[in-house]
Amino acid sequence: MFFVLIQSQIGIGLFSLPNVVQEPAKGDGWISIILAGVGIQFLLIIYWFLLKRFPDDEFAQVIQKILGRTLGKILNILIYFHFIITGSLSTILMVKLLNLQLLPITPSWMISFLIISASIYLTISNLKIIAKFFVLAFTLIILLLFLTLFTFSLPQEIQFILPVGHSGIKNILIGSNNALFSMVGFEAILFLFPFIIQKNKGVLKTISLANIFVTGFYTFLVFICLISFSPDQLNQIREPVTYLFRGLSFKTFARVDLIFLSLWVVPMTTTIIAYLFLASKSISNEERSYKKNVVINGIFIFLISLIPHTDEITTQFTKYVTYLSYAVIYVIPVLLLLVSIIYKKHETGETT
Amino acid sequence: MNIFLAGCWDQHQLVDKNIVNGISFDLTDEGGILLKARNINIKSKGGGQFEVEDELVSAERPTLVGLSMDIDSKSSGRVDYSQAHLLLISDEMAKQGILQTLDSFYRGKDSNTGAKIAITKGKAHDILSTEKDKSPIAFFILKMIEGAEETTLLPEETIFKVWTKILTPGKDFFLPYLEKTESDKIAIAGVALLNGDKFSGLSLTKEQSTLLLLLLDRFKKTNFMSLILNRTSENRSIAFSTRKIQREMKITVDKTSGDITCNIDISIQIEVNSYPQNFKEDLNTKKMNKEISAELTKQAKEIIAILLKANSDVFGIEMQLAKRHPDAWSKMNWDEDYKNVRIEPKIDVKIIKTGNVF
Amino acid sequence: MSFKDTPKDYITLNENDQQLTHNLKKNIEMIHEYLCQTEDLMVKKMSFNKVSCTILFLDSMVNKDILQSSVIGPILEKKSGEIQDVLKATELKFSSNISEVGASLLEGYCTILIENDEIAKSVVVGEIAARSIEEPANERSILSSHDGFVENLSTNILLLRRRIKSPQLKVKFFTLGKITNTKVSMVFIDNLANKKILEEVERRITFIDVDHLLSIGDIEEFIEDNPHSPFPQMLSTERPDRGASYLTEGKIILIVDGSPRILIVPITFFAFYQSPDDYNSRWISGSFFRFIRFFSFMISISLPAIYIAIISFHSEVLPIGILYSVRVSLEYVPLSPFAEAILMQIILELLKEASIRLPTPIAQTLGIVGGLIIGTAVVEANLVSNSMIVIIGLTAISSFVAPINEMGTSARLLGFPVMIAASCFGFFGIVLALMVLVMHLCKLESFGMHYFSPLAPFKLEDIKDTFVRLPIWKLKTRPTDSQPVYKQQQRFTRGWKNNKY
Repeated sequence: MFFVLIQSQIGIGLFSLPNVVQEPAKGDGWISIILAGVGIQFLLIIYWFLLKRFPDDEFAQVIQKILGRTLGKILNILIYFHFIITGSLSTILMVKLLNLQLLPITPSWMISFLIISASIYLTISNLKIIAKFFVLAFTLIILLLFLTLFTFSLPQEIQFILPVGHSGIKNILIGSNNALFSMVGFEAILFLFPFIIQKNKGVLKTISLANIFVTGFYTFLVFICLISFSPDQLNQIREPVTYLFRGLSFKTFARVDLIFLSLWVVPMTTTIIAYLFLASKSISNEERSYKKNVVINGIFIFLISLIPHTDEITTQFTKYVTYLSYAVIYVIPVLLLLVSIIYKKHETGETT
Repeated sequence: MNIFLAGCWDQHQLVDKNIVNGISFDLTDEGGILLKARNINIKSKGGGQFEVEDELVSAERPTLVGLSMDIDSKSSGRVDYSQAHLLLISDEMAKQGILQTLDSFYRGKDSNTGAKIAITKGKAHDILSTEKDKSPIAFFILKMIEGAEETTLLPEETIFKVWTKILTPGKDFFLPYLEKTESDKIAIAGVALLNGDKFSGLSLTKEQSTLLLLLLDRFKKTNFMSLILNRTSENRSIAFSTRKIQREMKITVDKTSGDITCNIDISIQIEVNSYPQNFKEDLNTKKMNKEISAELTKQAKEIIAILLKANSDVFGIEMQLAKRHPDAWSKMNWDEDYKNVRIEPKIDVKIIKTGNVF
Repeated sequence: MSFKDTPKDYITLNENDQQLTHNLKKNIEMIHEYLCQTEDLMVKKMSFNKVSCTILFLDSMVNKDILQSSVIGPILEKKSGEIQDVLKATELKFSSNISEVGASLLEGYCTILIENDEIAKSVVVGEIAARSIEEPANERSILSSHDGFVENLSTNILLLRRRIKSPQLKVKFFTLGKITNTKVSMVFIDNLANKKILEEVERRITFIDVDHLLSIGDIEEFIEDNPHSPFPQMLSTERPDRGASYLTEGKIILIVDGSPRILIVPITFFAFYQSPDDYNSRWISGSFFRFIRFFSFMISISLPAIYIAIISFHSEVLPIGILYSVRVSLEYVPLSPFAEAILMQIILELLKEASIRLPTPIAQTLGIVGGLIIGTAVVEANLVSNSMIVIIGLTAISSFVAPINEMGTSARLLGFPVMIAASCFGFFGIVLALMVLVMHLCKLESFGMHYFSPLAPFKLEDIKDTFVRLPIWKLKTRPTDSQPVYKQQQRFTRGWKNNKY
């Protein structure tokens, strides 16, 4: 469970993160991330309250129960749309990155096709198997952490960060805002809740731990990037984390960044798998239609990922997705919680 | 099937690649850029034995762009710069600034950002054209530089590090300085001082560069120095290697006059390698300590004078000022005021070992 | 005259429900008829109790000494009395049904028919002509026992019972195959094996409805979860010590009469890389060997692919020294690296197949010739590069390291699609192919148990016997992958250390 959450959060967002945060917040980008993490934690608590009131229902049903059938269905479709779009965006970013660094001439539809086929292959099986795979993929993240320890041998200037807080609170907050897109993924808990077996034993603890881990991980990486590159550089470099690894070279492998990038394909794919899974789960209610839905959704994502080619379209797309995600992730659950408290609608599982 | 056959879009077979070893940049008389590259040429000696040689290819263009295309058209196969581990820039060209030369190296996805850069005295392609029987010449230069880095003779600078440093305001750096001596041999002439990304024209000798690295607290595994003491009366010489170093640097700003003083205190522990005098007596460590300290401090002052003249702020004083004393800093125009900074070195030497003999 | 007869669908067997009559001659005729007048059916006429008595047996199946001493001898001696008291038999079956009598004859019994008696008595006198117990050729070990299973079912069960003298060791028999009537047995420890798995295995076996069942491979394919997967889901081995150790973990063994291999069910991926030698050496050496085996699996799948990817796509990864050597070796080779690799692998497979069938005198010479041809001449002719031979050689060696041959072959075969992916997409292709492979491993289940346990789902206690081999006194709990009923397998075995008595 822990791992599923982590995997769905970490992923493509990692790469552009330091650049994105740098602009407003300058040397204090790492604080922005911590703040973002705190904000997410807060949201998670809200989620938990909401979900505790409906322990066994799938989220789609929860919405319908709270708001009635028609409104609930509209919201469901909105959420479904959000998942599909976010999945597509992740695919697009991932393909772009691969195209840039690893395989420049290979057409992007080919890369996209391969990744989505692999994702469909895993998502078709049930959640337990997906979780198993995610656990294994987690080891790659640990490997990455280990590699970053080597970057301490590169020249670093703590000066880039000091004095702490000099950018001002406003800039830091703007940085947090930008950071949030990279950290989405935790809304998966909304859908996974009915599948957790031992609900009472510290579910909140597990998801908080996942959040803390992700926040800490991102903060650490941003921190390293900030102290290794000067502010001007960071403005210019597209993906600071990859560039960081370029400076490393060992006696037997010269280009660590190539290896790292190839390995990172796996966590990025897990993000896509997570979204594919969520999208399919949110509109299908039984087993049979689930498998069909996975394939159909996969095809949707593939088709959508073919559309944008240039940088501008991609940035626009990202903006829209971010707005949509605000709505879905922040607004809706809060609303739902409030409504359910006000109208005292809840179910207590088997003991009614 | 079609996908697989047509499908290896990005394949770039190693066999087809022409590997470039080292690149040199020069200014031509017309103000254009001359680039020479060393390509690997594998000759078969028959019976499965091969010999690796390299050949020199050159290209000339008015500006930097397009040079690689020229080289490509003069070599067999596609040129691959990812193994170019040496970059030589002539001193004239470096005076115009090296950042532009480096642009294609850090923009492309294939380049070797761990390549070493050196500035050459005179034309860079002279050095690269030196024919050597033993091994590819760029490799030879690379090994020479690496060896010197280990003995704290040259600073460790790769394209990656240099780029960061150029874009770091408030700190300057220096690069290895190579020259070609008479009998067609390549030698390290010291280090070249840069201001921003432009070569200042001034350089330090080998002895001075070692001392400078010590002043900067960039001591590597070992270090060799040789001094001549007391030039006037006696003519004693001593050679020693440094074992351990401790440095303290303090910057103070005088509030009223706005004068900046930087105090650098170093204490070195050394081991004597050669002291070919006084065969009958033991080494008088106390006296030696004092003498060596005085001599080194004198040399350090000379180095700093050159640094100030070159406007090369290798100690990062500007950066420290910006962070710690922002008011004083904002009032200054650093380019002018750097010359007025007083840097006071103080070196304290302690002999800990004298080898097998007293 | 034409031989084109359209084959019919099912064999119709002589399901003869006829009963024996009082008439001796008629009975003998009916039995002859049932066995299709086979000429190795012997009829011995004697007299007993002053009536004629016939002994029927199949000449090929019967041990003449036992027949003589247990049946013919006593009858000739006593000449009267109740037949069952006279016979010196360990097992006596009564039947009046022709097909039952026929079946017992086929098992090696001899049937005694007495005039005016419609009940036949069958006595076991079967011949046990079996191979002697020797170490299996494919699964050699250095430190463990050197006996192996043989073709006879009873001997195999004997080998297991000798190691586990427990009253809970239970054997269940099935007869499968309409023509072959092969005896299949399921062996397990009754209070340890998981009941659900037992039921599932039985259920699947009862569905087997074939004409012939000759070897263990047939059963394997009938009852395994996913026959299309390249990974075997049941362990087949010829070593009784392996079988016994898995029994004590709560696993189930299937033995087929006539095949020296047994099947162990349910199994995980990591069981294929364990060998009995691990437990007989120091635990540090044992762990070291485990690591080497896993490493060999990684190599045999991915090494040629990595090499191809580096050469074709990302030669920047290699440092200068290695790059020059590789480049030099590739200089005059006309084929693309992918073609080179495929060529070498095919040659290797050909060599391997040929060497199984070579008669021993030629084998050594041909080995040298093969080595020379492949090694030197191919390189000299500039068909394949030196470095490719090194790579393929390493891959081949590492694929033979797997203790179970099947897994090694699967690993080698899996290397091919990864190679294709590498030659199309470089490192990305390798990562993708391996990712799909891992996904497949996660999905695979062996009788409801997760194939890739203990890595996924992550069970920390089981790690102590998969990647490393912790000292035996630390293995306090059984591996959970077959969900045995009892968890603890040891008590405080090194208590003597603290206890001075």
